[in-house]
Formats: sequence, C-alpha cells, structure tokens
Amino acid sequence: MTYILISDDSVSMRQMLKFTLAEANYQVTEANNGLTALELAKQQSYDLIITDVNMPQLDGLSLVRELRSLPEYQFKPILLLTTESDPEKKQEAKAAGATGWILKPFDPDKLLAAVRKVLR
Amino acid sequence: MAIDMTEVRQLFFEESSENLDVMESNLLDLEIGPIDKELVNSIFRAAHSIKGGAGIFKFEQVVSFAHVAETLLDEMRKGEHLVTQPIIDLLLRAVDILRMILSSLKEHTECDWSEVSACQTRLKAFLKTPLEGESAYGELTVSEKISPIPQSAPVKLPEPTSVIPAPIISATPLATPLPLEVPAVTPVTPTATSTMPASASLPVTSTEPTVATASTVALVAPTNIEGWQIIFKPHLEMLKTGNDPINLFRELAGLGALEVKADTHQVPTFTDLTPHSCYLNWELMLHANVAKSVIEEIFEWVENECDLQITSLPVLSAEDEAPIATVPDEITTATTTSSHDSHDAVSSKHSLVNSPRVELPPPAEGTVSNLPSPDEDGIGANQPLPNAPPASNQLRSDQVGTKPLSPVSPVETPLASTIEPLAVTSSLQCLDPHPLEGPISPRGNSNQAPETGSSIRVGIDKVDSLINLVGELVITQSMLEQVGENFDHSKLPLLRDGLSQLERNTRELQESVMRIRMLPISYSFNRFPRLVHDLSVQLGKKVELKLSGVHTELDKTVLEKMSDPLVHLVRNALDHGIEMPAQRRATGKSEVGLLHLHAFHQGGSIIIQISDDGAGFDLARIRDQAIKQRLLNREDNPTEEQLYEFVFQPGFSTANQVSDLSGRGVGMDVVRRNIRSLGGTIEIQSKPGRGTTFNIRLPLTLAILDGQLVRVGTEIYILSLLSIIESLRVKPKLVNSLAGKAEVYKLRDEYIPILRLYELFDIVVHCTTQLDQGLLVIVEGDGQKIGLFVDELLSQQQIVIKSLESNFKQMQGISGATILGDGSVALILDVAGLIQLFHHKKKIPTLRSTFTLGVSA
Repeated sequence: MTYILISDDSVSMRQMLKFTLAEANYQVTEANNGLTALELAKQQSYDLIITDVNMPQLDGLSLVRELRSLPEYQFKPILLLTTESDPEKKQEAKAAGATGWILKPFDPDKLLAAVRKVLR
Repeated sequence: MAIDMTEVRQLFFEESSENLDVMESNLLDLEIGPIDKELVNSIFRAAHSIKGGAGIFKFEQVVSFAHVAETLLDEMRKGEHLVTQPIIDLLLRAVDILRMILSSLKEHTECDWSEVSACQTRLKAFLKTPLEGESAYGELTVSEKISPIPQSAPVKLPEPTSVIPAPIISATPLATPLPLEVPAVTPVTPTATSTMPASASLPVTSTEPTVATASTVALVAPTNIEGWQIIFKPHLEMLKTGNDPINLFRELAGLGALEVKADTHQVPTFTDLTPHSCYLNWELMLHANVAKSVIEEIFEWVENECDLQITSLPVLSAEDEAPIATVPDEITTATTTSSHDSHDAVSSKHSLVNSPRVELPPPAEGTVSNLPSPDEDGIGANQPLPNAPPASNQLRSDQVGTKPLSPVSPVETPLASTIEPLAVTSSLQCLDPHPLEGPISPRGNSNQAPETGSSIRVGIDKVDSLINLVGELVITQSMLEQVGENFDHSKLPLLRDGLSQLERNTRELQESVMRIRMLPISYSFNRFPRLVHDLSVQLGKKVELKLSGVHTELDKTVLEKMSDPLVHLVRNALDHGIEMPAQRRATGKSEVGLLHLHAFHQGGSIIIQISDDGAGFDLARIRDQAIKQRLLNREDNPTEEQLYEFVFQPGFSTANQVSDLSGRGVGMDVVRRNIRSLGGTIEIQSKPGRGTTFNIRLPLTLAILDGQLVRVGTEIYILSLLSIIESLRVKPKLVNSLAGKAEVYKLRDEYIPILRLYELFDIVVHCTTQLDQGLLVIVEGDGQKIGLFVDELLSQQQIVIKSLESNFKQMQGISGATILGDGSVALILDVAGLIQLFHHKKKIPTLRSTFTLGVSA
C-alpha cells in the first residue's frame, strides 16, 4: 500500500485529491493545514506528501522545510500544489526541499502522472 | 470508473461562498492606510482558493476573474498599494461579481458578462504590473459566449487492463536486459564490477510494436526512429529533494525504447562514500519520436539540480549503432550470448518484474545489494538476493487493481523467460506513464437541472454525539428485549427501568437530531457588515455595527426565513433611525451611530435584538398619520404600544420622503408576517432621541414544540406551551358581553375576549357549553390575549409538528398537526391566527376592537 498525505485548507481541493488518488488505489490521509500535516507525518510514515502552498497556520514551504529536517522525510517525495508558474517561486520551492510541483489547476490525469513520477 | 465530481463541485460552491464571505468580511475590516498584512493575506488566500478550485472544474471565467483580483491582492500584500476606499470598494465589487458568476454556474443560469468584464477591466487598471500569461488565462470579453453549464469533469480512470501488448523480441537474447535499478545499485557494490556490467544498456520496450523488431535486442536501436541523447549529471545533492533518477528514467522509458548507461567514474571508494549523495552520471538514449519539451518536462523538477543536455539523435541506421555498442574502457556493456546468460536473463526477469515497485534502497544509501537472482533456479546466480520473492507473488501484490498476470515460473527456457519479463514491463508501461488516456467525456447528466435539495454542513461533534446516542439506544433496546424474554412479574422493575432509559435516550436523541438543524446566527449576521458599509456610504452616515451573540444557534429554516426581515430592519435603522452626522452632533451625540445586532437565548426562545441609537420613533407623527389614514379617531388616546402597532400596518409610513431604501410603507407588515409565520413575535421599544430597539422572539425550532393537549368535546387540540399564560376556571360573574358581539372575561385589570373553541370548530357532540363547567386557557399571540374555552386540559408533551400545508392546505388558526401516542391526529392551534379569526368572525376590525377594549378597561 502506498500512503499519501495531502495537506490543503480547501475542502473541495482535498476531496478532489482524495477521490483521484483513492481511485488509483493510494491510501490517502488528509490534513487541513500545514501544522496538522506535520503532526500526522510524524505519527506515521507516508510515501508521498502533497501540500498546498497557501495555507493557514503553517504554509506549504515551511511544511516542506520542517519535513526535510526529519530523518524520516529526508528523501521522501514532497510535491507542492501551486498556481505560481514563475521560475522564482519554483526555485523557492526547490530551495525549501520540494521534490516537484503540481500546477493548479490540474486535472486528475496530471495529478496522477505527477504522483507516479515520484513514486516507485 | 468515473469519479463523481458533482459532489465535489457542490463542495466547491459551498467552500467558495465561505471564501467569499471571508474576503468580504476581511475587506470590511481593512482600514484605510498601510496594509494590514495578515488581513490582506487572508483575503488573498481566499481568492486563491477560489481560483484553484475553479480551475479544476474548468470554470475558466472564474479563474480568469479571480486571477486578476488575486494579482491585485498580491501586489497589495507586497506593499505596492496602500489601502484606499476605491480599492476596497472595487474588491468588494469583485467579491460580488465572483459570487454572481459562481451562483450562475451553480444554478446553470446566464450571468451578466458585461458586468464581469467591466469589473475585470477596472481591477486591471489598478495593477502595477501588467498581467503575465494573459493569454493563458484568457481575456474575458463580452462577446465571448460562455456556456453557463460547465463541463463537469468526470474523470475516467483507466480500466484495469490485463492486455499485454505482445512484445516482439528477438529469440536470441543478445543482451542482458538489466533492471532499471542496476545503474544505481552497481556502483556501490564493490564486487559488482567484476561480475556485472557497470553500466547496463537497458532495453525498455515501448508499446509501439515497431520497437525491437530488429534481429538484435536492446543495443540495436530500431531503425529510422528519431531519438534523443540525454546527458544527465545530477548534482550531488539531488536526492535531497526526494527526486530519484530511476523515476525519471521510468518516465522516459514510457516514451519509447530507452538505453541507460551509468558513468560510475565519480563514485568514491566505499569509505569515502557519502550515502546521501548522488555520484552517478548517466547517458541515456531515448528512441522515441517525441518533442524535446516532453523530455524537458520530465526533468522539470530537477532542472537546477543537474546538468542536463538533450540533443537529438540523427535518424539512426544500423551502422550508427556501432558507437553505442562499443565498450569504452570504463563502461562495460553486457553483451553475451552464452547459455549462462540465459540465467542472467531469468534473473533479470525478476528484477524487471520487481523494478517498477519493489522497494530498493535509494541509490546512494550505501546498501550493498545485488542483482536479484532467484534462489530456486540455482544456477548462475552471482549472489543470491536474500528473500527474493517469487516473481508471481510479486506480480500479484504489485498489480493492484489489475488482474494478476499469469504467474511467471522462474525456471523456463531462455526464450520464454526473456520474453516474459519484457511482457511484464511493457504491460506495466502501458499502465504506468500515461494511464489516463481515456477521453474525458462530459457526464451524461451534467445538463440536468441543478440539485434542488439543500444541504447542511454539520459539525463532526454533532454527528459523533448522535452516533453515541444511537449506540445507547441500541443497548436499551437489547436490554428491553432481554426483559421481554420469559417475562414475569418479577421483571417489572427492570421493564420500568428500561422504559425510562428508553425515554431518556429518545429525548436525548431528539435533542441531538434537532441540534443538527441548528446553525449559528452568524450565518445571517455576517452579511450585515457589508450591507451596513454600503448603506452608510450611500446615505452619507457614519455607522458602527456591533454584532454579539453570533454563536447563538437557531433552526436552519428559521434562520433562512429571518434573513429578509433582518435586512429590512437593519435598512430601516440606517435609513430612518440613525441621523446624519451633523444632526447627531447637534443633539450632542457622537457622529458615529451605533447599530447593534444581538442574539441570545431566553427560555425556549431565541431573542434577536436590533437596536440603534438614532432618533427613535416619533409617536406624535405616528398618531397623526394613523388619524390621517383613518386608523385612529382623533379623540382616541392610544398607549405607546398601540401606536407602535400601527407601524406594522400595511401601507403605513411616517417617512417624509420615500427613499431608495425604505419608507414606502411596505415592509414592516411583511416583516411581522414573516416572523409570525415562524411562530415568533416582534415588539418595538423606542425612546425619542435615544434610539429604537426591535425585539424579535423566535421559537428554537419549528419541528418540535412543547405542547399542551386540550380537549374540546371528543377532539383533542394542541396549544404551544409558550403561548399559554394561565388556565383558570371561569367565574360567570366576571364574564361580560359586549354589545352581543363578544364575551370578555375580566381578568384582574384586563378584559380578555373569550373564544369558545367548540363554537369555532362546530363541535356539537359531548362538549361543555357552560362556561363555568369548562376551563378558560388564556393565551397570547402577537401581543394580544385571548381566552380559549375548552373542556379540559390533558397532558403536556413534546409535539412533533407535521405540516398541514404540505399535506392538506393552509388553515387559518391551525399551524399544523401531529400524531398522538395512540395514533390519532390532533391539530395544533395557532394562537395569532385564532385571534384574527375571532375578530373576523365577530366582524370587529382587529385594531379597533383591541382599542375599544383597551380604552374601556
């Protein structure tokens, strides 16, 4: 089983992610903000973390940084959901330690393709 | 399987409307001047969420519009703009526009695109930086015909496929098809270099049958196919962002035949090796006719973490392959034809089978691992991989959602075994890289009418408590069942206990279910900051709005129906109540008027107070107006309360001027009618020059009431306990007849009209007609009292209201019906309606009669 943690403050976005990923047989856990995501990630090991950038409490980039400081997530793939397409933002994401990004809006195909790209 | 997006879409609309509320309330909180970063951020986030969600559902119009608004907000939070009233107003307008677009999308109706585009243009005018990617978002023009029905996006997921494209593979395995892991694994295996090629040319078949039709496998590239040479040199720290070369290679392999050569040059000796660094460089040959951008996209995420060189290969002919096959000093290519290799092939099958999903340690973690080799074939295994799972098992466990491929027996003829692993890879490929090729067809039902049922969002705690209670109910039920078995008298106390427990469970369950329908009044109150803001700007008044008790919960239906009356009262307060700043100053009041909305529980009711510190009602003017409209005789001397009563009369207005907002005399009567229809009351308290307070009293819920059962003849009627003031035995000497029209009962200092229910309902059988033999129930509705004459009072109990209107028709004086414990139906009396009916029957105009009575008292 592949476990994926998704973190987004928007319910519909989470539902969308969850539906798509669950249909593709991934085990999905939801967090509605970065802080919750971090706590969940500490409790259980996830194979992939997908997080929104703009979130209350702990934003996506900070979450990535926090996760990368944990031994468990040093090499785990972490994808950012972002609408920013300018290179500067992407570099910021990479600098924080994100594996890659998924540009919003995305359709399920794109999401799954991105997920498959980072999961073995 | 298609994902049902309708539900998610519904969720998106709900969420967006919440986000818009957030935007609106935060915009109203913004103060002119420097940016409040926290607020702007939160507005930005809300706009951003709407945009993101809208994109998923392909609501391009929303995306495009929200994008402009978001850009402006982004500039604001970067401090490029100061907060000014025009910006706030424009952004508020943008919120309205978004709300309009979203609701038109939701309801599948047309919306006014010219307004959208006008607002969008105004927003753009504020932007400091021109919008990038304009074309991507699409300029919205009026002429653009945008279908209000969005393409709902049902997503076709790949049907599990068990079709394995027949791989066309040469019967002679010339090369060892090594697993993808090999390049990564070998370098850290000191022994590997001797037994294994340090670099492996990996033939990965694409699904294109043209691949590998040549007589040799792998190294022999298919002729006449364009290709790409990719020099990929990851930086040492590439692994630290969770990127793994193997995943990239797999993506590439999905495009076509791929050769992978690893350059192990830079791998340090074991002792110097840092586990988390990537020491390998790769040279890849991709034989596929794809655009360069496709390849670049695959490497998109590692762009700055590697040196990447992508050059197109010339159209390959057979001769061209030689250089590739040439074995450089440090790079050995596995090309053997000995029988031994057939075992390699066999073993490689495992790795191929395993490769896509088997957990191997990350390349540079320093784990010494070897090419997997099946234990059971026993031949030629260089170093058996511990616990190498049998291929068939691996397949089954890996192929989630697909039919397991036919088990591959590890010991096979070389031919068969060479083919099978490839068969597996190709099938995996067709599953893996582009699994969602299915056309996205619009859902069949997307054109259907929008969902009519309204939904309610319930806090999880409420649902949990419900589940908990149901659990208890089940326990009680099983307990009673036990009691019921072989029941005898000794079990009577147990039965009684059980029944009282059941009663408690039922009550709690009922309360709990009712709570689900309860929403905080903030749902309704939250629209007022905006309304007050807009109105006060429009009227040139200064108003401070204070909201309190916003967490007070009331029934969803009540809340919805109260919405308009509240708006009306707030408008009135602003328009007529609160004076112009100059006028306020003149009367020694603060320029800023105060409007206070307050909600709280009192007894079994919710009280909503709307108070202002404005001018208050001008009683003299109400009196004059009432006389002018012939509602009052000049010589009458009505009390304050009675004068306020006129305010609720249709067509009654004291306003000198009819304004845009109010003053047409339409409204207060409607307000009261709405409140009454909810079983509530409204009253006015006002002091000239000090302000006005409207008190609205509403029942907690509409679905259940505490009822008093009364008997009239053989019929049973129900009165709301809240409406009952007292019940008494009639003393005949206190009953007076008024001009033969009505009977009144003198109760202390008041005269209360008596309504004989049996008369009203034409009950003739078994009923008491003598006043002193029955009971008089004094009830109050709409501020008027009336005595209902009944035979006797029965029990009090909670009554579940069934609508009479939806099952039969509306009846004046009857608010509904219920089913009693014995299964019979009883009507619930509506006191206010009864009073009206009474006056109507007695041909006494409502107001005048109370008047005369009041005055004569």
